[in-house]
Amino acid sequence: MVSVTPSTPPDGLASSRLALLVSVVIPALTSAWYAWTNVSAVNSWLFMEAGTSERIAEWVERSAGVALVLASLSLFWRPNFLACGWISLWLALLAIATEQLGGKAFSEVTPLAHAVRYVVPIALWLFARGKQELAIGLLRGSLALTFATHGYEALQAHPGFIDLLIPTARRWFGLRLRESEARQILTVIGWMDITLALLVCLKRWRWLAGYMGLWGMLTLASRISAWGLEQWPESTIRLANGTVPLTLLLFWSATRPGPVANRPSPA
Amino acid sequence: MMMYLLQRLALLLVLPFSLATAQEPTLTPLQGSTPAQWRVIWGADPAHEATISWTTAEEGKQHQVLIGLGGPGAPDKRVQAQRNGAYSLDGGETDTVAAAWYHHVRLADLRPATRYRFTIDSDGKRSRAFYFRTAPDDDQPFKLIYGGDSRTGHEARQQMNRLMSELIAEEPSILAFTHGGDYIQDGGRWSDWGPWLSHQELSTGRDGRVLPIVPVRGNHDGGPLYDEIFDDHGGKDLNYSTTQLSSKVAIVSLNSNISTTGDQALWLEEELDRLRPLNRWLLTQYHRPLYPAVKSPGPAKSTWVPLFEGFDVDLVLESDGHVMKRTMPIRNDEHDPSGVTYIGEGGLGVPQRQPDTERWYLKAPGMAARGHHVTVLSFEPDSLRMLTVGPAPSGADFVPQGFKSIVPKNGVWRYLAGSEPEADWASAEFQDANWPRGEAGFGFGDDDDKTVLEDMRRNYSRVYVRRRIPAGDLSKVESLALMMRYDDGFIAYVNGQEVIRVGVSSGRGATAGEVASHEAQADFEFFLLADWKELTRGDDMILCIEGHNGGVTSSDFTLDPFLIADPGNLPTSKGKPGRVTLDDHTLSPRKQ
Repeated sequence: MVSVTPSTPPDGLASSRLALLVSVVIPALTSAWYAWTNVSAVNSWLFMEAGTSERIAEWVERSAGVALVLASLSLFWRPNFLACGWISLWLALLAIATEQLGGKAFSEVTPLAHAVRYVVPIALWLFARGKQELAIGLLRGSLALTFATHGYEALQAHPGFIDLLIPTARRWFGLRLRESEARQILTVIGWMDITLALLVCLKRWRWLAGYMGLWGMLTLASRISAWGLEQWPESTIRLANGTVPLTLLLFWSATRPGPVANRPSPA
Repeated sequence: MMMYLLQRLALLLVLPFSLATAQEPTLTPLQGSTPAQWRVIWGADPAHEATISWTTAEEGKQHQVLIGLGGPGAPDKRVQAQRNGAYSLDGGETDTVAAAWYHHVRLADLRPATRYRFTIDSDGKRSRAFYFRTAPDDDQPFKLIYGGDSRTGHEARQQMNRLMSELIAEEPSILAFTHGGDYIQDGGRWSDWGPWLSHQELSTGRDGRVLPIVPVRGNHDGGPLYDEIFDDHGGKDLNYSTTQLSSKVAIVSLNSNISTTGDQALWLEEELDRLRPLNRWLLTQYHRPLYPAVKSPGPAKSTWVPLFEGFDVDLVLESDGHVMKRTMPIRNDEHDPSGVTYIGEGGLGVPQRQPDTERWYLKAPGMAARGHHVTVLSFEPDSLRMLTVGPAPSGADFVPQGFKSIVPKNGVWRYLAGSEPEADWASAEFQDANWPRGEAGFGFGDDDDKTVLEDMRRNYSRVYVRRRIPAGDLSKVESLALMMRYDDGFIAYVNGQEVIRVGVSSGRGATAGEVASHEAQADFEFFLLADWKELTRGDDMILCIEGHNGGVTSSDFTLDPFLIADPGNLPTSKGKPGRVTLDDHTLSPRKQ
């Protein structure tokens, strides 16, 4: 039995926590970058739906960006609820605003597709407080939602997915893929994603987590390979799709049953 | 030749009659079988084909168009609608929104560059007489209007439709209108599309001229209704195609909402390869910009831009950004005089954004501005002119930059509060020496006033201010604008003449009509002082403003003016009241 105290996690869990930290900080900083250089869904919702002036929408967005940077920096000192809660809230608001605005393929399922992004900050906070199993449970659930939603979108031949496959096939493999072939591949990918989503809820298989991590990293890297380096934020904002399965792999590796040193419990 | 002359003579004879019956455009109510929401749609071959479409509130039995050549006279032919159907209702609309039916008459074997008059007939209910012109099949010059993004700005898009109606009356050579997408907010809702289609009626000329539309699908135009409204333009759910506008001008319409790298990209490459050697002017249009002025570029950039550059597309029309822009010519992601120019980005009514003018491709010789607009494209053998015009900016839509203050913020004004002035209080001759002085802004209740009118609440609802501006201060000024924060409305006068009215429905002073509610914004709002030179004629300017509160029981009031001159980013006004030119740029044909 492994006895764990929140302030001094065993080495095997430190890497899990580091993976979680990266899963939170990089997307948060990417969101902050977007807030200062682009027009986010929250900005658009405020301006187009709520009728606020563009100036106010921009002020809200940029203030959020500053808060995201400060929150991210504070996480290196200590994962605190204020910072983790703010990052989670902003990413959730982005998902909800995208769903409300419409105008994107499958915008209606965005809150589900982005689940892992806005759940992982809360999981980090719980993890740092010693509630690792609860954190891992949240991660599994949100990852399952994200993968299942992507699987659904793939089965529906999301045009954005077709536009990832065709250029990636050309650049990575020199293959000239037809759209009909890309759709067939997406059918396979879609069922795979849905199967992975189910399995990650039911099983604690390390190979499963590793495979999902590899797949997540490949898909986020494909944004750059398909659309060019200037699309790098579209990759980093999705980092959790790859690093959260990696977190599961590290955690399950660190906590797998086997001979371990017992630490004396506090008197 | 003889027939041509006879047609022209007939036109001259009947023209006075047609002008006498010209109608003020109004919205046609959807009721029974009354034809409403008419439109003419251009597809691949507008010299010989066109689709006339409309809506009825009832399904009806017989839907047809009576169509003939030239001016008013007996129609030549009845053509039955080949496609009729019920507009699809969103799940949430089936119990709350009345059904409506679409009808499409697909005309073929038309004569190029010919005026066709038509009347729509649904079960005996007839529309008024309309006409449209087919595209030429030779190389004659013509014009095209381009715009995009109507969406939620209902009043603004009606204003833009009226502007288009004026433009086609001024310029008979404008043949068609191409819309870059995002007509409405939610493409799946008939309750969004219905008003757009009704508002589109306002673009019809007073003489019944209907401007054919070449539509593009925007990201908010998802769902089945787009194809029902535009008769599967470019193929059902595909919506990409080529329109040959004349023998030497073609426009390729693309769909940025479906895969941009798959079948559409293959088709685009083949089509550009085919079209380039045949056309002097080759354009493309689609919704999501690849060189945006506000947002990030669409994923199509890495696929489409190499094709545009590889086939030397002349001009690309984009939307989605809700700004006005023209890039510098671009090739290989840098300025290249031989490159491709991109214009856009959607000003047909949607609330406008501020462009990011720091983007490299928007710097000179490119440009970007904010404001509702359309672009008139003039296709000539030796030039392609892009004239972008729009309503004069006002209110919060325009943020002036690089201006000089004539009357500064918190300047001193003579004011009258708590009583009514003499009738000639706004005239240049009125003596205001016994009016107290106070610093702008005037008001109470929201802690933003320099001259606080403690006694205004529950006692009176009007305040009058005057300021004399010496002629010497205006001697080198071209344009003047009033910058105002106000709650709730005001009327401004220059040398006794009313020049601006905001929020006050009618009358003036104590006899003013209803005052609309308006909260003072954090930023000042912009109001151009048109015709000020004619009103002052080189003399001092007497600027007078009467501020109106919504009622004596209102909890606050604000009247906070200052006067600016020559904002550096003010679009020019070229003699058309209420209209400004945002950009005027000409391309030369490529050497082939």
